[in-house]
Amino acid sequence: MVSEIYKLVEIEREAEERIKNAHLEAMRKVEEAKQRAEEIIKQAKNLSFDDLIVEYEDKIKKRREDILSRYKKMADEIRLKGQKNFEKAVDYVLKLVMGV
Amino acid sequence: MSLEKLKQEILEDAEKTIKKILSNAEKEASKILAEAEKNAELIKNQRREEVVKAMREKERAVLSMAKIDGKKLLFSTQEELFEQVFKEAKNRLSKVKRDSKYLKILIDYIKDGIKELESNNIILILNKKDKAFVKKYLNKIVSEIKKDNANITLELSEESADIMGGVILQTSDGSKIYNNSFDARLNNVMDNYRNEIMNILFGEGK
Repeated sequence: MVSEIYKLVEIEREAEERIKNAHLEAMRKVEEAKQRAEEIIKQAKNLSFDDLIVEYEDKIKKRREDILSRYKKMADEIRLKGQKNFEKAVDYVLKLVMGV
Repeated sequence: MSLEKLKQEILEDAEKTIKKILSNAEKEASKILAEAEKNAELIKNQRREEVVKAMREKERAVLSMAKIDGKKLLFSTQEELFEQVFKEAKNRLSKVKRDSKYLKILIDYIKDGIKELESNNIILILNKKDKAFVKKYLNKIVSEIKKDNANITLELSEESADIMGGVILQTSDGSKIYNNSFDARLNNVMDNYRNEIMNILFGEGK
């Protein structure tokens, strides 16, 4: 009878030990999840948008070149028009200066 | 209750508790990770929006500068041609022949100057070349001037001016000067007829 009670106490101790280990295992799982969560947030914060930036930079460069090219064309047209009317303008100035 | 059954019960209870502990831990871990994923997504979206916003601002600034540069190019092209007109006019004025046409111009310039100075005693200041020319035709000039005002006296200055042509008039007391030289008139035309000259050069339909 005594030995049976002793066995029963042993089993109780064993069960308590297993429950204690389960608590430790549970704490480990939660701790791991927290660490993983921190890692996920850190990755999100450090995420690079280089591709997006390069895409925008290319688009901006192209649009800038388009604008400058448009104005360059306009300047060429203005120059041609000015050259065409150059003599008229000089004559007009001379007429005003000389009063004839 | 038999001892065996009691043992069985202790072990089964312990197993149930362990399962519950581990199950709760799994749920909590899943919840932490889900929350982290959700926050990470928010952070990513927010950062992406910041990058897009910054790039759009950069785009606006760069394109705005490009337009300013383009307008500067148009302006400098116009200015360059305007300046060429000035230089060419100056070049031609410096080569004007001293003939009867020029004499008439000088007479007109002198008449204008007399009107401006409102004086009867005038000194004419000319460049070296024109001094000789005017001396040659002084009688004609004086008689033309006197047609408008018989009391006028004209005197040629001994000094000569560094001008392309035309005349500088000065009252004999030196109190008033009227610069009717080609140089002064050209500068005046370029300043005061800028719009008209620009319109001839670049205006619609030209």
